[in-house]
Amino acid sequence: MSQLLIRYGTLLLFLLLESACFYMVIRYNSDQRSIFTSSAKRFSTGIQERYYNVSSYIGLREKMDHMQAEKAALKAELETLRVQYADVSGSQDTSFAVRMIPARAFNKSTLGNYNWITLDKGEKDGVKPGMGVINDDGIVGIVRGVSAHYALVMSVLHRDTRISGAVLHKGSHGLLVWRSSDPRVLDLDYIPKHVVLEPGDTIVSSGYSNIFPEGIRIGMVISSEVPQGQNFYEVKVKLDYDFFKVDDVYVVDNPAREEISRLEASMQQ
Amino acid sequence: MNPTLLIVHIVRFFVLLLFQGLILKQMSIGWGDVVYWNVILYPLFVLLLPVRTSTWQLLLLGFAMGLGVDLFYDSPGVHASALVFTAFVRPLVLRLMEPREGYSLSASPSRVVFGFQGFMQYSGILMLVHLFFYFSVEAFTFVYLLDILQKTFFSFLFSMAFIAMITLIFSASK
Repeated sequence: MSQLLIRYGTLLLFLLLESACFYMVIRYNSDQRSIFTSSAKRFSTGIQERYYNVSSYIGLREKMDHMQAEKAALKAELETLRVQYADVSGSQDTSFAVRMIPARAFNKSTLGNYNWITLDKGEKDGVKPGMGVINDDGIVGIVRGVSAHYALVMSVLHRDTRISGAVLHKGSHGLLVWRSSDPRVLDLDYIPKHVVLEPGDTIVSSGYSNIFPEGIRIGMVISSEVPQGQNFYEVKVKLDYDFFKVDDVYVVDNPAREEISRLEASMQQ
Repeated sequence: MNPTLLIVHIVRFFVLLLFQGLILKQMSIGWGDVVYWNVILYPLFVLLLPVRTSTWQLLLLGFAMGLGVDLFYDSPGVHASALVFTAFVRPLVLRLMEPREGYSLSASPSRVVFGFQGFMQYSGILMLVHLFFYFSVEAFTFVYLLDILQKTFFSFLFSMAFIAMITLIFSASK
């Protein structure tokens, strides 16, 4: 017995460690990854956040310019709306006002097939699973898990993420899926072939799922064709922004979302 | 192992772990469909352990390092499995490259032992093994074989450039 152990001991250890690894890979490959995050990852998240605090000073200037520009645009929009509101001024119901929770994204990656982003806002700030996450330029992902102070976001660049996207001004909508190896190109499925779709068309969020507000710009069609004998287009959409630069994001808290999903759930019973 | 050497290896463990998790991870990015910038450096820890480190020690240390990197990459088990495999292969490669007079007892397989070219060969073989294994486990299927090969190729290119630079800067020449 001990002879065997000496002879095959290392091989045995090798197989043992590999199976432990593969167990983890399989066990945590899906959404259960959030369990790993909330407990074991405390340590590295802490370090990463501290590191981020330091490194975020680099590029501050550029970011400030960007914010300034955005502020200006928002102010302009606010004024326009104020004028329009004065005209309508009927309904005063603000219970369905969409709230934006500003957050910082760190620990983001665009390299793997299943990318996750960590946010520095959690349950205490009102973040709940199922909420959408956007930034100034487009859609970032969907919150899947929250702890007290952090939230885990399933990135758009995750093979299992499906986001409803609409073709601007053409009324047709489909599902956005990330299949390519390029972190800037998404596929848009289920656009029927009778729709006239051309490269250059703008894709926005449809707002059907209530996760994201309607009409957020996502990207531009770069190629569209109907394969022989198919009823749907094969569309490639180029994202407007560099995922690598996603830093300041907003979690979309749409009160209507919960009410609608409650209603839908009650219908299914 | 003498105490100073031990400290060197312990420090190297943490420096490589933090460098990989905090800096190299943030730097990695893909451009377009083809070029792909990703530097994987932490296997260097296993590569540089002393020659006479036993295989079971290599396996356990590789496992620890891999798990550490996994914490930063949110990928439980993926880096660890690759590094355990690399650690398992290391003795075979060392035997393959053994100089005629054998290894001196306390030596690390470094530039001093192999010379620059030899060390690049040694780390090249093991890095290739490591990266291919890593990207295969990460995809978890060979359906994306082309994708895996492409990622392996570019990561290999950039990682080896880094290893070459580090070797030239940090280890004294003969």
